[in-house]
Amino acid sequence: MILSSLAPQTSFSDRTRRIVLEPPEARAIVSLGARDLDACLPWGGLPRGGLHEILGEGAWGWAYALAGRALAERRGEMLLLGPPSPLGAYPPGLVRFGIAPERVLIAEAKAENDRLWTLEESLRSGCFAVVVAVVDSRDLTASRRLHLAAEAGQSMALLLCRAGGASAALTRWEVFPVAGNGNTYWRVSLQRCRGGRSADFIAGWDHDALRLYPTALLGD
Amino acid sequence: MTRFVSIQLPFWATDRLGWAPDRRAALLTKEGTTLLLAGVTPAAARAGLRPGQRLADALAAFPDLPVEAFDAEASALALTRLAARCRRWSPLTAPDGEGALLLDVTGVAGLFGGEEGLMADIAAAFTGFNLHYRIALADTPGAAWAWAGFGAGGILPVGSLRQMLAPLPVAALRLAPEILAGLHRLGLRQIGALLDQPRAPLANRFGREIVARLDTVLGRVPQPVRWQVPTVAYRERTPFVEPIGTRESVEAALTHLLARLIDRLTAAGLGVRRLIFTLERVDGSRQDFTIGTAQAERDPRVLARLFRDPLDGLDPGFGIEAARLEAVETAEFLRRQPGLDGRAAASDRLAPLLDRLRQRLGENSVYRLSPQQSHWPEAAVRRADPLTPVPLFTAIPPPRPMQLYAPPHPIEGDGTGYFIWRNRRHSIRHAEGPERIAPEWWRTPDRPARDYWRVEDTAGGRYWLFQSRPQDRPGPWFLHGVFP
Repeated sequence: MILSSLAPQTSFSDRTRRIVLEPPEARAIVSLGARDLDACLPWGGLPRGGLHEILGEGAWGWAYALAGRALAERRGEMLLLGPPSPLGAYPPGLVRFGIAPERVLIAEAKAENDRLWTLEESLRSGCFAVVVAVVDSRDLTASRRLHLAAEAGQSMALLLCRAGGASAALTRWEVFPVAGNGNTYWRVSLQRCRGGRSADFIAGWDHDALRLYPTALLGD
Repeated sequence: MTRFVSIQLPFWATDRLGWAPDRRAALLTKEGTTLLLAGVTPAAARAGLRPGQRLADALAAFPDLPVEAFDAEASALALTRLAARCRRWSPLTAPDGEGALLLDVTGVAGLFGGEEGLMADIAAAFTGFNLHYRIALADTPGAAWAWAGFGAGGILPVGSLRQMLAPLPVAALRLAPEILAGLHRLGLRQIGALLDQPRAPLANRFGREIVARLDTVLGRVPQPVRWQVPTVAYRERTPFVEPIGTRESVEAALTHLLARLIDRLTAAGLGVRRLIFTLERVDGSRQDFTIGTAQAERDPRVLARLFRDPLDGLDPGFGIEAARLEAVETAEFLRRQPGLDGRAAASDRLAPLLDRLRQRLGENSVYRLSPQQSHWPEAAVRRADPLTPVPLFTAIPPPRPMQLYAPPHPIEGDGTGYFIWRNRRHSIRHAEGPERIAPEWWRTPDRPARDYWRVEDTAGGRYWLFQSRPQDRPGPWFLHGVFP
């Protein structure tokens, strides 16, 4: 390719170089959209297959933001899993995260066992790039099984749960919405991260560029 | 030379129901607003009642005539089943109109000891069915029908059509009523008289149909007949030497039956949509397990896996002596081509996964949301089948919430700096709006318009509120959705 003979780093942004020189399927890391945020994570972004947990009032928004980043970088579909009382997902609102509603599948399961079974089957099958699930209970064995299934199927699992506890997730986030003149801002706390340190920051979602950007990196 | 048998059942409608022939009764049908007789018993026919008469006239003659409604569909269905039974004498059978059957017996007579033997066999069978019948054997279907209905019945020798049919009335040709009326007016009452006429003026006067019918009845032109297609049942059964009872042995039997059934389906180019696995116990009772798939499926591993959950309810009782597998619903199997790199496409994996999810969670638990042409927020999406692709959503310029509550939650507020939702007070810090959304006046004219606001409270929560405005006056406030 002609491009490789041009002066490399200065002419192109990192993102363009990644798209041009690496085929999409080979990229194993999903960038959060900003270098400072990526630096908080030991992998330089989120790995393609793995389990992540999200708590707090802003959990849904953060989950959609991460899902939007994952779907932006990879062809794939998203599964939303939750209890039957209306999940309330509204596709025109999902569009603002870059999640095309025709790529979203919704599954409802009343019993917790059914939900966990569905989660494991969908993750292991590899049909979805991202699975967002509402899970009430959790224990170490179950989360380990789910993480292995997510790695086997190379799907990103985002679990919305209530309380903390021992788990085999790669990261655990606690998210609260923060006032910001009507724009989308959260106070995000990376509570635990496998192989990395915890972090605290305030990040916003840019609905046009479809990426996260940090506004303040708070000390931990 | 082709040979056909026509079996006429003049009292099929009442014989099918098992009515005694010496009981005077009739079946009713409704044509427009008049009630007509659709079928009569032989006793009623002897008394002068005919199908097509008005009920009022019949009741005038016999005031206490027992009548019942006529179920045309059930009658036609029973006739097709009877045509299937007639496959004993010929592989090609078909119902012929509303009360007759047609069999193609070319070359069959030798199996029954000649044509007389064949007719005797048919007559004995229909007598055993307790049906009134008239049978005839002739060279063409039309001739057989005419001879059975209007002639003496029996065998018409080969080549004798013209002279045997000549004395029959023209109604035996099964022409339209207006043509028959026209022929009667001209004085042409018998088929022989009709055959003596020159063809061209007949065709001019009554249309080509009459000439074509004469040709087919006399055998000059072959008559195409729609023969009944036998329905193939994809069913496999295996009895066991000794009664079994363990889950492993049941699964082994299932695998064995699946292999046999799928071989047959593959040969026919079909895939399975619904399978029923039946276990017959030694005491005569049965246990059924049913699975369904969204697309025609033929992979034995996928189908066996779908049975895993239902087989948890296995109850062998005193022992299972036979197992049966039936594909009650099949569909054409479309071969799916794998991608160039050899991996199956993601959509291929999706269909079996959806089958498993729907089997466990329920048919309606997995769906997509499909856009609707509506600016009214609740009506903008609708549930759709997960496997069909949904149309693309067009982007909506004003921001919409990521979660919508249906129905909207009522809140307390008066449009100033606070609102109370779920017993918590939220102080409004920032608000954008109003965005007026009026309902679709052609669909729901009575619904009030809504003024939508995107508000942010001091704690950072972002909500989509609206105030309904009936007749443009301020109304109650609601919370419709949550922004990220």
